[in-house]
Amino acid sequence: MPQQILQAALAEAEKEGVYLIGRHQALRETAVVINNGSVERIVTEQSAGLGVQVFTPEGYSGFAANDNPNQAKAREQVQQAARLADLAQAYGGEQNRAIFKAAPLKAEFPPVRKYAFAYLPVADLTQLVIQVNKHLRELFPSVAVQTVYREIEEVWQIVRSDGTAVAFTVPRAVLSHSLTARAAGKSVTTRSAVAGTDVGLLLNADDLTEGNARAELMAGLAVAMLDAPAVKGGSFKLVIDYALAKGLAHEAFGHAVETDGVRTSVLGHNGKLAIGMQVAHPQVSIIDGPLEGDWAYQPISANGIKRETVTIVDKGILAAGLGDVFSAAQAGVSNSGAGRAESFAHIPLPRMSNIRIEVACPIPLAKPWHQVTPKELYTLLLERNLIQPDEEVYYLLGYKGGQVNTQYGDFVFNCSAIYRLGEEPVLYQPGIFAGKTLSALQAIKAGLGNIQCDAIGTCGKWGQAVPSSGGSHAFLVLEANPDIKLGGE
Amino acid sequence: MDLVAHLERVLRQYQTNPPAEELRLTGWRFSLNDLTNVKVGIRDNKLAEVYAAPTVNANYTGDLLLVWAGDRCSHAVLNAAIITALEDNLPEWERAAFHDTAGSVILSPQPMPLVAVEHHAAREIVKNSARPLFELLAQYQREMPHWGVSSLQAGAQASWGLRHIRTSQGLAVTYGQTTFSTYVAADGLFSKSFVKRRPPTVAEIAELIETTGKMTQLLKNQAELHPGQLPIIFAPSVVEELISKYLVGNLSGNNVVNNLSAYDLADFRQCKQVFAPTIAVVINPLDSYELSSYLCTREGVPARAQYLVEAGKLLTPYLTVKDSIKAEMRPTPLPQGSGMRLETGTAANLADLISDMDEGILVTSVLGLHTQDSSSGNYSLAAPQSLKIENGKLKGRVKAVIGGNFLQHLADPCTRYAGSKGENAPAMQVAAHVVKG
Repeated sequence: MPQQILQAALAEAEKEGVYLIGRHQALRETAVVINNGSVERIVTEQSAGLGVQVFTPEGYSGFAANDNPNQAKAREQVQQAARLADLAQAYGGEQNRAIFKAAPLKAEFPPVRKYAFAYLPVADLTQLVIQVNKHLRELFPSVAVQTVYREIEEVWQIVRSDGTAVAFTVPRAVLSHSLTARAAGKSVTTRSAVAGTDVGLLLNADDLTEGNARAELMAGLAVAMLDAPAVKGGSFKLVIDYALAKGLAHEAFGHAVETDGVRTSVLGHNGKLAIGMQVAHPQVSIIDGPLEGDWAYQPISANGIKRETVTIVDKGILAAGLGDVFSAAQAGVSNSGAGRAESFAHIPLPRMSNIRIEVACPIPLAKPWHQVTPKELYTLLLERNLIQPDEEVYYLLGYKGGQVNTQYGDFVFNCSAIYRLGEEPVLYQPGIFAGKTLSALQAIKAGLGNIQCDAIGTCGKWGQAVPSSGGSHAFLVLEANPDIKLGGE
Repeated sequence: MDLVAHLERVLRQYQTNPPAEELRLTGWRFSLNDLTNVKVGIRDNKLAEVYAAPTVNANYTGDLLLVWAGDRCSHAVLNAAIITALEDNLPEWERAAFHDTAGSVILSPQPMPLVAVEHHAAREIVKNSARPLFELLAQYQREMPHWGVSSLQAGAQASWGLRHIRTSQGLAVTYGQTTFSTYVAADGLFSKSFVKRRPPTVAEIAELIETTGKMTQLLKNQAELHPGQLPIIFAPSVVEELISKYLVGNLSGNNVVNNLSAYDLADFRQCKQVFAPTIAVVINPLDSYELSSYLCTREGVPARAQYLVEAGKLLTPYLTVKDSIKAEMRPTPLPQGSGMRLETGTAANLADLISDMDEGILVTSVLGLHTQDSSSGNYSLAAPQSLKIENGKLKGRVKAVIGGNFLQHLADPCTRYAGSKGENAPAMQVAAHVVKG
């Protein structure tokens, strides 16, 4: 059926004399919400829709979407999009003819996962989520626990007037907790999440152990932070965990190299990405690309172009951008197939997928990151001569999201908790990490542990929510820098 | 196919004459929006460029509650495909049902207020021509350069559709609703938006352009920030965001009954004093052509003005039917968009606050609000587009990192407020920790 709908759209586009990119998306989702051991809600969703983007021969564009597609409606959508493109021309809109030069592609990517969507009956699935929730409640009776399990399957089919026909399926699952501690009129909420492709998150012992370990760490922090003071604001040497490093790569850097924004980006020069600019210490590289089984996996762009893995920063030098078919050439970089869309109803934008920071010669860790205590971290940093005994160093853990203004290079991201490192580490309330794109990467001094790139989030660029992920070594050490501020008293 | 009629017919059939007894519904409720949206944008001065191409988007969105024997409930997201294949989905939904006594209650129909939520001019844009959206953006392109703006981002959108609410108790409401929104962002420094259920007037557009132009000019000058404990003024748009983050979360009945809020049920039962006596928090979905207005909630609770906090004392969280049963309180209207308002009783305006200040900053926007812990009330935010205030005058731009506690600000009798015409929230003057950004 989707094929017939897409073919109808292609035929109508030919009749209208316009070039077409057609996107059909089918989505299934099950969400289970448990509050303090009881079922709050179980929601099922199934949807399908068609988005058509047309280009007149002059390069004017129009877009139409419908969530109840059939062949007749597909034809009508193409006509609507064509009329809007005509209106864009009448008002002197911007032309873009880059799609006409794109190479056609035929490809299909079936889902890679262990368990099919809806592998378990909902009743069994719910019991597993309740068990996880109750486990946390037993360990932390004073903490209110909201547990959410979501299982999602997206099936995309994309066609173009040049014969391109691609299809891919993205399976995703996430188990997350919101953990609220309350006492003496104070409240603190922390969060934790693990992601995968399927219900293996609840069935595999290793996945469950990992998910529980992260949740227990955050639940303990919620309780401990009820009495924690506010941190002192200013510029300090910092240690950040890999999830915060994902935030650093994503907010400080990734958005600034997306080619749709290069004209105003702090990393742009005369409309081109400043390739060759030294942006980090020579031991630092940044890579973005899809990883099979990852929360943000997407093998093909929403414009029907293969998604490449890109070394954006190569040994400290800006080497590439995240480009899509419409703006990569304008920005002076290759088209890496970075176009992503929230759904069939959205126009794709160049976006990150999984972005990670790699530091040469990392210091090995003897245990998983979440088992490393602040005191052990302090001792290790001292042994490696990365900090001095009397130095004021803060350790930030637990990523809570970020934001950037790429035009000025101002970015922020936030943590769940802060420790001042020392013989007796002191816990503080979270404070915002605010910095400048061109200073942040220069500050990275060392990496500790193996690369861990399963930190997940949702990127909201231009109002479109798409899954994002990434990471780095378990911990990164950042030198104090006047352009990097920790918010506090 | 008339999707609403089909949905209603099938649900009634499963209530009275199901194909199998285990599929017999004891109750049901749905809310469905049949909406068409038209929009176009300017990116980096370029009208209707490929990422901001003119767009029309037609969709059905809504939610469905099904109640089976034994107070077992199923929830589903509604869309056209689901409704078309409704009978295929019902057995699956029955298998996914869970016991939920409070969640299975369907309200009896109640009288609905009359509220103006549909505007003919917005509807005409959707039904007939998107030209007014292009005209508006063309006006921005013509006028913003006069303010020295070199990089312009802007957008305009209109939507129109029907909202349907039906229940097994006999509630059947259908009404038209529209929205119109537009924004201008200049040189990455300042942005301002207009969001209502009607298009802006000529004067409102002029004000949008003038404010954006003036503020952008001010932000292009640099000033020196002296960090420390400083008086800061949150601009009305920032206060609106702070309300959405901290009050909407903590006054949510669902969060309160599940201990995920800063307040618990006992706080409401005791009418605990949590804010200064001059402060009230109200949901009012009755204002004409406000985005936050509606006739009833998706559960059929009629729109009415509802105070959640009065004289600084907690009265009620906002409550769905299910949460109201758990809380043993009355269900309330729910906040929509910027529909939770702060009443402060102030007669001052923003110019008064600025002119009274020896040294401080005006925070025009913040970065990182979505990353904050609303239950604690704490905030730690970057404010790179702030204006230094010196001797009662706005000077140039300063970059600040600010920290404080929004809930404590509302409790502090020293906090000052200023009403602002055309804004959804007051400006707010507080003392906060300020670090140079």
